[in-house]
Order: sequence, then structure tokens, then C-alpha cells
Amino acid sequence: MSSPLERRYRRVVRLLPANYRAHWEEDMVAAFLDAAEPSDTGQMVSHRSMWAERLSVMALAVRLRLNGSHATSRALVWYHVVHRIALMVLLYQAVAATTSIEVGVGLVMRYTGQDPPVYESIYMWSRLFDLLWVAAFGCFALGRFVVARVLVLLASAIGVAVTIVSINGFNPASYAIYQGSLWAWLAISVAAVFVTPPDAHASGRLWLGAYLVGSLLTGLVAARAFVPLIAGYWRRLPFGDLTHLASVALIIAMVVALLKAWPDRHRSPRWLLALAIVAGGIGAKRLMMSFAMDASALGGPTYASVWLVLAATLVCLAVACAAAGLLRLRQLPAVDVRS
Amino acid sequence: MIGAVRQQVQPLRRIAFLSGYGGSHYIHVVPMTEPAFFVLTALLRAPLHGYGIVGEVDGLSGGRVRLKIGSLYGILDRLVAEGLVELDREEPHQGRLRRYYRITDAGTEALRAEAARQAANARAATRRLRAMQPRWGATS
Repeated sequence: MSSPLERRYRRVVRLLPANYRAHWEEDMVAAFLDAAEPSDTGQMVSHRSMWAERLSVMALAVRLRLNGSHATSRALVWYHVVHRIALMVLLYQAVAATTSIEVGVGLVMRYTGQDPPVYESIYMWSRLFDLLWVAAFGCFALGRFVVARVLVLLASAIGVAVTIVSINGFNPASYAIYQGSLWAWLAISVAAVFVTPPDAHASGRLWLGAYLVGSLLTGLVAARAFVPLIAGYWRRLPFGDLTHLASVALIIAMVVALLKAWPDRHRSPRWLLALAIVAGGIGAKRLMMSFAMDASALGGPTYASVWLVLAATLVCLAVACAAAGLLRLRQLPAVDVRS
Repeated sequence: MIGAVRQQVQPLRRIAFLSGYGGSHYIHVVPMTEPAFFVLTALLRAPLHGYGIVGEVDGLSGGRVRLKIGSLYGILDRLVAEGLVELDREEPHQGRLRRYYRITDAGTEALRAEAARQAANARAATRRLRAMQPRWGATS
């Protein structure tokens, strides 16, 4: 018959992952009860602060659930899916930030020798904070997860402050945040970088390569604003937009992931599921926008058609990736990683 | 000199690799946390059970490090996974099984390296402090 003290402690221990509990619960309870002694009424009373003990178990539960060190094989796949989503979101933010810095440099060059308007002056200098996103992405891709988390928190806080200022008056909105579905994008990037699978490691070459290619392409798009020979000032072209380029990159990535997954039955569904979630979310939102908005609001009939085709392709491929990924996931044995 | 530093760093690199901090491309040397340092030190003399470790760490640190049970089992879980601590035996106690843990050879090696690193840091700080003493005397 367990004592009320033991039952209370076991209730807290239930917060820990099942695999962890299977290994450590009895030992933890025994160690906790070792500190307890019978009182005058015969009840077991602990000399240790119950609240402090509860908090330590809660902190342990949060840490174990974030690093997935006791996750089952299937759960571990989801940790990797979130990790890949974090990489994709940070890649987008880094490329968007680089583009906005390029725009800032373009503005500085335009106003050489003259005073720029206040709004553009603020815009030029606020771009420097976007470098934080580039640094955060670089650290995350190179496996420096703790530094990356600090940088993401800092960049997000500054982004939120800049956005609030922009709502109250001038409009130096951070390009890196505004181009990415605002707050949802920001919340996803902050939350996802805190989840790190136990066997996550640096995957720098691929991701830094993607960043360089993305920045080069978006740099060319940004240059249209400052080089009249390439195109007119802010004139829009199909694909001449960061979100369109990101959609094309996602489509290519999904096709490659599906082609690679097809012949290899034992391939992990991490990529399929991560791409399905990101592309499905973006595609669905853009599809709804294309139905809700007038063609002229989307930049004309050509631009609206490109928008619709890209959104529909994203959604279709995301559904295919999700179906293939979930089938693969079901094939995985639901056994303990450490068993 | 360089050889001595390498010798000190090698076990730390091993910990970093075993703990999953070191990827295939990059290895980060992570210094041992103070509670983990005291847990390993507590196990040097004899194998201990969970609450025994808590008491021993409290004594060794002069009451500065008071481990909560949740924190202790977070540390033990990591140390066991890294191969620095292992199960010694199980003994019945008041109707329960008590698990005793012991430090492994790798754990002793890692603790020795960490102690050497901390001693080197302390020596460097002490040298500087001693060098500053005459100046303090001159200004006071």
C-alpha cells in the first residue's frame, strides 16, 4: 500500500516520457522516499521541499521531451521532422534577410551624396538587424544549436519591436518577418529551433549551398528595383518574388523526395513529412488568397495565374508527400529506441 | 606542453562525442557541469544509491550543491548513456529495490581531466591575484 506522499510524487513523475519512466521511475520514487520519515501521526513526511522536487521533475520532463532522448522510433521521426522544418524556416528567414539587406544597400547607393527621406533612412539601417537571422541560420546549420536559439530569440524580439513601431507610425517593417506569414512563421521558427533530436548533427554544406543559391536568385530579383535596364522600378514579373522562388524550391524538393522514396522502402519519412507540412501550409494559404483576392490585387492576370498554379501544385505534392510519409511511418516498429 | 593539453582534452572530446554533441563534421568540447562533476566525485569512493549520492554531493560541496531528485536522475541518465557511470548492484530495502551506481574507468578518466582543467584555471587566476597584491598595497 503506497503512502499519500508516494502517490503525490508518482503523479508528478508521470510527466516524464514513458520510456524514461520505465527505466528510472522506481529508482526516483525510492530516492525521494528515502528522504521521508514517519511523522507523529504515522504519515510519511518528506524533509525536502515538495515544490522544488516537483519543479525539478517538470524541468527534466521538458528537457527530455525537447531533446527526444527517450523517444520511441516513431516519435523520433517527428523530432527529425520538426528539426527539418526549423532548418527550412530559418533558411527562408536568412534568404529574406539577405534580400532586405541587399535592398538596404541599394537604397544607400541611390542616395549617395544626398539626404534620404526619413522612412527610407530608417529602413536602410534597420536592415542590419536582419543579419541576426543569417547568423542564426548559419549556427543552426553548422550544429551550434544553443547559439542559434539565442540568436533566433534576439532576432524575433527585434522583429516584433520593429513591427510594433511600424504599426504605430512609420513603416520600416522587417522584410524577413513580413515576407513569411507574419507571426505564425515567427512562432514556428522560435518553437522549432528548441527541438533537437538526440542524433542531430551539423548538415552545413547542403544548407549553406541552398542559402547561397537562394540569396543569389533573390539578389537578382532585388536588383530590378535599382537597375532600370533589368526591369522598371518595383515592376513585378512572374517568379520575381521571394515567396514564388521559395514555392518553386519546395516543389523541386518534394519531387526529389518522392522520387528517392519510391524505390527505397526503408528510407526514413522525415523529409517527406517535413516538406508536406511546410508546403501544405504555404500552399493552402496561398490557394485561399488566390480565391479571395482579385487578379489585379495579385499583380495582374499573368501573375494571378502563376500564383494559382504554384499554390495548387504545392498542395497536390504536399498531399502526396504526406500520404507516402505516413505510410512509411506506419511501417516503423513502435518499439523503444533503447530497448 | 601541447601534448599535455591534448591529453587533457581527449577525454572531454570523448564525452562530447558520446553525449551526441559531436556530429560527424564538428566536435564541440563541452565542459562538465558542476553537479555532474560532484556526482562523479561522490561515486569515486564507493558505489552509492540515489539518495546516497544526494547526501554525498551535499557534503562534498559544503552544502552549495543540493541536488533535487529530478535533477539527479537527469544527470545519472546522461552519465549512464555516456558510459561514465554504470549500475553496480540492486539491494532490497524496506520492500523496495535500491539501485547502486558506480563510476566506470571512462568516468574516472573524464573526472581526472575535468579536475586538471579546473585546477589549471584556478592556478592561472591565483597567479594573477598574487601579482596584483603589491599594487593593492601601494594604493591603499
